[in-house]
Amino acid sequence: MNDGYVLAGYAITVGSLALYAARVLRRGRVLARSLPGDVPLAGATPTSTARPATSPDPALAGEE
Amino acid sequence: MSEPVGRNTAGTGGPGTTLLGAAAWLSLATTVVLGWRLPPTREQGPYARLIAIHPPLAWAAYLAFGVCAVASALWLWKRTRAPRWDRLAASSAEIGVVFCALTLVTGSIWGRPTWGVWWTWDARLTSTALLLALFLGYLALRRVAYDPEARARRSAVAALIAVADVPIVHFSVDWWRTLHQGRSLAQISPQSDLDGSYVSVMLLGFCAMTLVYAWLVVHRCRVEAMEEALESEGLDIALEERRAEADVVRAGV
Amino acid sequence: MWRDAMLVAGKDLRIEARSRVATNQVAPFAIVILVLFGFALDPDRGVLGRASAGLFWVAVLLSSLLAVQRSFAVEAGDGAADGLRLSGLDPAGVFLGKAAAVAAQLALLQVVLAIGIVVLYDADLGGPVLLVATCAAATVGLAAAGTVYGVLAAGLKVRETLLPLLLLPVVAPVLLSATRAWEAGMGISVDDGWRWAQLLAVFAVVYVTLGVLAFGALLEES
Repeated sequence: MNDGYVLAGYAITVGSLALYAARVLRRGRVLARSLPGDVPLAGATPTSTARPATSPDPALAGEE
Repeated sequence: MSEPVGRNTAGTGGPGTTLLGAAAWLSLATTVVLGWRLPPTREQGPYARLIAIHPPLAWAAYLAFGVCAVASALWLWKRTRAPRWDRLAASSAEIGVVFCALTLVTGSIWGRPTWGVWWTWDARLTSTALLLALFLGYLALRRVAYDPEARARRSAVAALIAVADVPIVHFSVDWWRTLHQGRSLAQISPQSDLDGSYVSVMLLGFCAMTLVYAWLVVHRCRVEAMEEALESEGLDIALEERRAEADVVRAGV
Repeated sequence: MWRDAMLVAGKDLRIEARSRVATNQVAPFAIVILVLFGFALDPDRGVLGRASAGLFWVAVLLSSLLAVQRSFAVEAGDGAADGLRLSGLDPAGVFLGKAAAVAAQLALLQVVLAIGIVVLYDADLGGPVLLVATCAAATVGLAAAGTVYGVLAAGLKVRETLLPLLLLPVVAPVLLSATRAWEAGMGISVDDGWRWAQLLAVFAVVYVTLGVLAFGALLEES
């Protein structure tokens, strides 16, 4: 029982990190498949259609 | 600012991240194995082995939140404003929340057999809990502010305000608990009578967590970049459709 | 900037005077909280008396949520927010004005609550200088932090649930410090109350400064 706590601590840590990592990587693969054009690496701005950085068309904003 | 890197349908990986990831997971595994094999201490028996991961997790959380704050500041300052800082802030915050939650969980697990309770209102744990709350709020804010520019702006301010609170939280909780508490988790921390081997495993743990953080943040940033690209794709398509509708209406009138 | 602040504060307080939301809704809410604590904690064993400082400040904190929500709700209708932005008022002035209005309401609430705990919990408000100083510092800090987060959450549909999540962790140290200071002042504990009051003052200064800096950027697009 002594070891149980320590084991739990290690397992939860490694397990959670692995699960989170798997989630991120899987999302990355899904997105890479659905995006046309070059996939940006190293945090570069995506090379897809240029888009103004201001608020979108008010016709779409509708919400607020 | 865009760096065309050729088609990559596989995902967010690359030679750099593979190397980083290998180093990260290898060092983490080593830490765990070595930590497991540490001999029991006089004071706490076998439980002090959690020192291999608990302080390193806390360090990683603080690192992540610190990076989030710096990235937020860089985004807010007009001269360095760029989407990559917003992405870094968001990614780092999310990862920080993971590490922070794990810090609290391992702290709790450590406390249970040692002090008999799941939570001790220890100064450090309490401050960490508040830190988690602060950044959960940050993530919640990011989820509801839709327009990317507005979202970046609000989040950046929120991150900086939250981080400004951290020292105040630290001092207030610390003063509060030192008045009442005898022994605390803080005293378990390595300076005292812990074996040299404990300290070295803990240091390895610090390195491992730092590497894991770095690897995670790179992947998460890339995912974030792609999410934004997808979003703007969707937006453009919707804009096109609306304009087409408008044209049809105009033509019909 | 100060003139704009007075303008905005005056406007908010006049709206309040006319609609009386603070007096008719927030103050009673605060008293209800005190009564609920009485139900939750045993009134006969001195628990309430010992805890009165903490309960007072919890009630203040929760009421401040309402006050801040209200402060931004008044702008939400009829494009008032746009009017504010386009009016050319100095954003820092707008911040100070709104925060001042919230602070004024909070101050009033604290008077009501103080009477409440004396009456309901048999609290003994000794050491009034420390108590008042604490209230002053805490109120400024709460109002400033609340106003900043208020505008951060403004215009978002989930504002009502988001604001508490954003604001309460940030002002937790205010609750902590103010309670300790009051306990010292009321003689419940032997701590050095003034050091807590100083921490409150630091919080206040930090958040007023942050508010002044941040408001311009935020009001631009909110």
